[in-house]
Amino acid sequence: MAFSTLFARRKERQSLLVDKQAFFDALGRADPTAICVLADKIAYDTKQAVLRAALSIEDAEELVNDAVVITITNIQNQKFLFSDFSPVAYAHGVVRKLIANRVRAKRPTQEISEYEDIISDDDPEVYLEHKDIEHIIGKLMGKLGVNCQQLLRLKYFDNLRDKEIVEQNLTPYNSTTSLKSKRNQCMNQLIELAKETDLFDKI
Amino acid sequence: MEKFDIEAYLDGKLEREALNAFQQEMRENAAFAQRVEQQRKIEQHLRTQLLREHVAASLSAQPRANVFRRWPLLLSLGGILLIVLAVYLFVFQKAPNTALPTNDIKQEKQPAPAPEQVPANPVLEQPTPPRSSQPIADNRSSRLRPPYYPAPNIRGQQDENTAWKKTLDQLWYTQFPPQNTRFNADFSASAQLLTARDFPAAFVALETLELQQPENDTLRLLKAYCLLEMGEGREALRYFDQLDGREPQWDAYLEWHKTLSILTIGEQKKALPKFRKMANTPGHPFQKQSLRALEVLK
Repeated sequence: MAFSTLFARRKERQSLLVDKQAFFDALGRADPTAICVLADKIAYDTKQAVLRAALSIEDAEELVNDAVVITITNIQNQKFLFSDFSPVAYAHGVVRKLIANRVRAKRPTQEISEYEDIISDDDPEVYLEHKDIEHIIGKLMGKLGVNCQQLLRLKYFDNLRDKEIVEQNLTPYNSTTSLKSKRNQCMNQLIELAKETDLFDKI
Repeated sequence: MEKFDIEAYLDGKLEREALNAFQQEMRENAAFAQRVEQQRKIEQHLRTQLLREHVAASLSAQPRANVFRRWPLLLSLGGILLIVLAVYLFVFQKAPNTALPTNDIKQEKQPAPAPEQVPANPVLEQPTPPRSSQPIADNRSSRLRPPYYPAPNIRGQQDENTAWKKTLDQLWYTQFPPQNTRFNADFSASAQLLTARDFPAAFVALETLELQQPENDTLRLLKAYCLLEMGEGREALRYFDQLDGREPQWDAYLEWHKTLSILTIGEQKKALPKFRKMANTPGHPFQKQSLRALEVLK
């Protein structure tokens, strides 16, 4: 059983590497296998680039995660189109930009031209500011009940329609009205928590 | 249910009449407009945060990552054993290492060829392997200079298995470009990056090329070499395998580099007979390197 699962997973990973369009589409769906393939593909180079830039090796893992998040977000927002570049090359570009930003932050006068042939048009500083805000929102989510977390996740991550959620019995609510009403309460609760932490002053 | 459905407004799902009323309320009620803006921002950042958590969870669930989390001690012990073995070999079996055959210098230091305008595949001049009249016993690997460049870090093993890396460093006789091979203009930029050993940049350039032109042997060769030097042995092997029997002039080159690829994925047992075969082939361009590899790995 375990071997067959491993074999199937390996086969899936191989097929993603062969079919780039499928790989791109899977990333757009935030498919876990595609995420792992992309991270694997950029991990080694990221580590090497981090070492070359004299940054801490611990930064590498975080940079890989950030590059994957940015790549997927930009696929979903259609800022990155398949015809432009392969996802791996795009993520490499994102990594270089993030590293350039870190180098600039740590050593403002240092020459960073090596990292300035940037592919993506994201601003890393904005991304990092947002990342802090999002980290706080993640913590605030943790203060909500499991039920609220599930309701918000189904809508804002899984992008499921209310009708689908009810039909598939993914929550205790058996009508879209009660589902929506409860989710509104959850969102209000989250906004109140955000106000308490002065989060809106930073956004 | 509240009078105004902010969620539907932000989803763009309000009907015209409801939308007009909603917008009217926003114009007239600053507090309401602020509340809508707050929800818009929270929704936007919540989506990204949920994606970030999903990415982190997906990556932490990788089998490879788990293996290394569960077995750091085992890997450390393996590393220590390899270090002890390397020290033993160094202390007790080190042969004098003075002379350096000029042939080897040429092979390792061969400069990148100037890009030339040639047909789609590279022009392959028949290599003239250095036929040695010496018996095999005289092809002593101990006379071979150590590799100019270290082996790449093998993914997933960098920290835990430094001894294995040191072993690879001793036999990492990679060669680029293959002898008597010239690349046409399309490939010259990538070839230059590879010669300069800027493998990440070369990889990006090759990925771009791969999108722009149909598959061909030159691209496969460049990609295979690039992946090998990036420590992606398995992927490199996949590309090298596709070149089997395509260009007889590359056979020896492929044989050696494929064996290194096999070694990088930890299949030492599979690599040893291949090294033996090359070591026992008089005139094989990588004969001495193979002898060295056998010494290092025994």
